[in-house]
Amino acid sequence: MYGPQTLTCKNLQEYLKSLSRDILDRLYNHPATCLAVFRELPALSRQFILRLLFVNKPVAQVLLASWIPQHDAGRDVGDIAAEHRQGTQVLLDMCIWQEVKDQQGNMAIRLSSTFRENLKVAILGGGRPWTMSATLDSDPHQRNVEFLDKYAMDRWESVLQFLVQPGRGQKAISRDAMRTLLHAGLIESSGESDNMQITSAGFQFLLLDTASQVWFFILKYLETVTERGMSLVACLTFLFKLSFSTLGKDYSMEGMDNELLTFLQHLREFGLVYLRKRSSGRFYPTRLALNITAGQNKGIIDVPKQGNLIIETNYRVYAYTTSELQISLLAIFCDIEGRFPNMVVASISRSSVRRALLKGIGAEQIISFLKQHCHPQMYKLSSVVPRTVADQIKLWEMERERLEFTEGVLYKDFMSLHDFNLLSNYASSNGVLIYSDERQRTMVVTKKGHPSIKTFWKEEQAK
Amino acid sequence: MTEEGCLLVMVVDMHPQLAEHDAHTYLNAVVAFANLHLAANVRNSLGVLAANHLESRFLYPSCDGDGVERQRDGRLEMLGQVDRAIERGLKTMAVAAGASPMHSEQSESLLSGAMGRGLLYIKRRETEEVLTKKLQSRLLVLKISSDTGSQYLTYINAYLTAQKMSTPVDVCVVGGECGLLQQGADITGGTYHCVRQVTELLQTLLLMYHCGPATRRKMNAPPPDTVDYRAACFCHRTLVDMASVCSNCLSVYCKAVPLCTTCNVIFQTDRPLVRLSKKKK
Repeated sequence: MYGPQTLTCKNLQEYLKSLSRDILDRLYNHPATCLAVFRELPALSRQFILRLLFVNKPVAQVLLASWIPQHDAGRDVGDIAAEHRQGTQVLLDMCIWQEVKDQQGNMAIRLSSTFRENLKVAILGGGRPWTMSATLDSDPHQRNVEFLDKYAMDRWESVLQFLVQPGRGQKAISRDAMRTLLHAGLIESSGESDNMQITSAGFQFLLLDTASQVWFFILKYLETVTERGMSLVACLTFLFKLSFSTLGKDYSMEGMDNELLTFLQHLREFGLVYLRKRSSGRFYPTRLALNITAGQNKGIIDVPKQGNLIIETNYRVYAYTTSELQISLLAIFCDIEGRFPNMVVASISRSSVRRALLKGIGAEQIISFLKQHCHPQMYKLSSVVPRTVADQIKLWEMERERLEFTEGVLYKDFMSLHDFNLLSNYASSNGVLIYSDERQRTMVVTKKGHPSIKTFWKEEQAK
Repeated sequence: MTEEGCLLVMVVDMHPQLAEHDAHTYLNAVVAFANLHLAANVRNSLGVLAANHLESRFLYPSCDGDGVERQRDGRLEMLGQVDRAIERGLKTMAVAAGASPMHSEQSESLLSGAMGRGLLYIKRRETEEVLTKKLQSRLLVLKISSDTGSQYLTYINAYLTAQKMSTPVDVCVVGGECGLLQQGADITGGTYHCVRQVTELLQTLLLMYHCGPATRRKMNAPPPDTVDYRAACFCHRTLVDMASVCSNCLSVYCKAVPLCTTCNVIFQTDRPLVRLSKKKK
């Protein structure tokens, strides 16, 4: 039996590392990407870059080694040295640092000049503006932040709604969004082409916070970008530009080629940007698009969503919501007991949690979902989700892991106790013994260990 | 990789003595460092205060927002606002300083007051953000003018407050050493460094002050100097090596006095005080 795959979401740094060197070099040609990359680096690597930001000459590696503290009371210097090596390796992997030889022929490090210049431009100014916002006159149909938030949430929830009930919400999302969902393995078609079904990964996706959902979705979308005949570099650059824009401001579509316009249309479908009309020539980024690169670790910059779950220590959950989506999400791991005009009463039980676990959802995911959607009142408690509830959900998950399946070979009907002991001792000394019972003279060894036991037995017999 | 943002409050010395140095380079370094801090992490936030011999002033975040700012060059839109806020605040400060005549008795920058305001700002932000984990914050003091001991008590008060709030106070002094601020950095676990030339300021800030205390421990730093822990006496505000201390309130006096001016305690002695001090020797 194999457990369902857990949903893994790469962060930006891991994603960029998986790209080819050539694409990375082209990405660094833009200030926005450089800044986005810079922000996602580990703290130590960031510090390395800053130290060399204004140093134009290559710096000898001996000097870099001197940055490692030599003596530090109560701390292991070896750990720190390892961290330094790691920080350096990240920079080398991402082609931000280049290894060169200096005049004396020693190994030296230089900060990539394109990266340096563009980072300087992004932070300290200079260069050409890249958002084309200054050319715009004021919009007669100005949209405010609340409108954009609502719009973005509506769009995004329609994608989630589709996931929850693929059959019903068919019309709500476009074929492109569906293609991405299919590609990401969040849904799969069962039998007939029209009938879609949510996968285990899909359930796990639903329980993520919005920021991670958007990032995961965009990552999967980017994987299909080249198939659609669009340039990955152009799309990524645009995405980074978008992520550094200001909420509630309009941006010009001037100078965008057809490729990017298609990309913009797709982003519009997911609610990352708002376009009043195709011909209006301007778009508004929404909160979903801002800081998209920050992924999981952005917290407070997330969509300001009022949580509405109250979780009691008696496993009851009260949800003050009318949203169909919220209720269906709850129903994944709760038993809905009653619906009222403005709230839903549900309870968490062993069977309801097991139902979710069978779908491949982990206990951690359920708990983090509860945490995210908690009513502000719950934050006043010491642990947001009552500890008994959180612990019990974890116990229910562990309960399923009581049985462990291992393939093995059974030996039985030994003629003498001596033979049995001989074999079982040999097997346990080789570490291949799984189970042995002296009374019944039965033992089980792993499949891998079987041939060696066999030869050993033959040798013993031959004596 | 979850990384908490950091609130950096910069206290910038704008004393008229700045004219002796290169003011342009100094301000450039300040603004560049502020920008780099904001850009380094989405969650980083910034507060900038300036102090001269007349007043201390909050520069950023400024309360009078000037509305829509659009991108003018290849820089992050939001960073432009920092520059403009700092520039605007310093201009009004400079005009006000130019208008009033220079008094000889009050010739020191009111850095301690500005530090106090900075700490208050940190405190306010902490209470505002209850839902998030404890806000990481630190104070960075840039000092360019020479000082006397006249603000000794307010300095020490600010340090102890910072220590209690577990907020490190980092100090970077341009020109001569400053023992009083060095004490503050030492008490609160911050870094103290003295830069000879203004031109070295930005690189020093980047090397030593950009990262938080956690990262700082992983980097090699110049060996710390011995801290000058001399106290300033309460009567003349001069730094003293040896002093008389009030047994009631621990006020420091450079000479033995019959009455403590802080807590009004009368020291009862049988013999004249002068002889007592002689006997001590």
